[in-house]
Amino acid sequence: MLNNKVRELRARHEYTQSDLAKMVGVTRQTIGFIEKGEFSPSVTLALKIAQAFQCDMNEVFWLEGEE
Amino acid sequence: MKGDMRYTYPIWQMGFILLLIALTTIIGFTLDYEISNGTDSFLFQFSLEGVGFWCLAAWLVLLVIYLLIFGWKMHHHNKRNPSHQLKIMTLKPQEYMEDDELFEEVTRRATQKVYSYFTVALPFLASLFLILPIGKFGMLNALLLIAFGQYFIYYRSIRQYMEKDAE
Repeated sequence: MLNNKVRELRARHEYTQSDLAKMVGVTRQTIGFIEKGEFSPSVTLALKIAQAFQCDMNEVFWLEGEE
Repeated sequence: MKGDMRYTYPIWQMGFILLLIALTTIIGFTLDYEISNGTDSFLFQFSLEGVGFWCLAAWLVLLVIYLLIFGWKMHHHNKRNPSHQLKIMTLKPQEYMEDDELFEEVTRRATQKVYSYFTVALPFLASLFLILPIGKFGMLNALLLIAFGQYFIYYRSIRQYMEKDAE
């Protein structure tokens, strides 16, 4: 399972789900499902999200048990 | 998803299928049926007079109401969602939601369930037709019920995601 701290980073950057969705070119629902861990994004989308937070992809997404 | 008719489109399809089932049933009963046990026979007749006529008239009224509400809802949807308008003249199912990765996945899972349903339902139905003495209107209604099931499965799968989104 893919874990993430999108919600935490989004709060730190003061982005709403809609803001982040616009930045990475997806719907708000997609960001919501990623945050809840119910949808694993593609590598492309994961990279875009990491870029939006100006950090490395591994800092945003990691496999369960690898933290 | 509020105001997005792609989500509720399967319900409209189910409604239309129910109307078609009603029509085939009405027409089916307008035909002559001869029941025979080899020596004696019994003729059952239902014509488009009296009850049959009124059933068909009521059906036509329902169809007009359905089409008016459906047309208005579709117009409303297209006005609110110019980026993904619903079009009548297209071969692609209107209920597909492929806005981005999530919706592509949701659509894929829903269509996968429908595909699994058909791989079981169609051979089962064909076997039933072979074994049971079902008339052509019975067969038609059974096929329509299978189509109803398809939309029901699709809608239920999509709804699971939409309800999670609303949480």
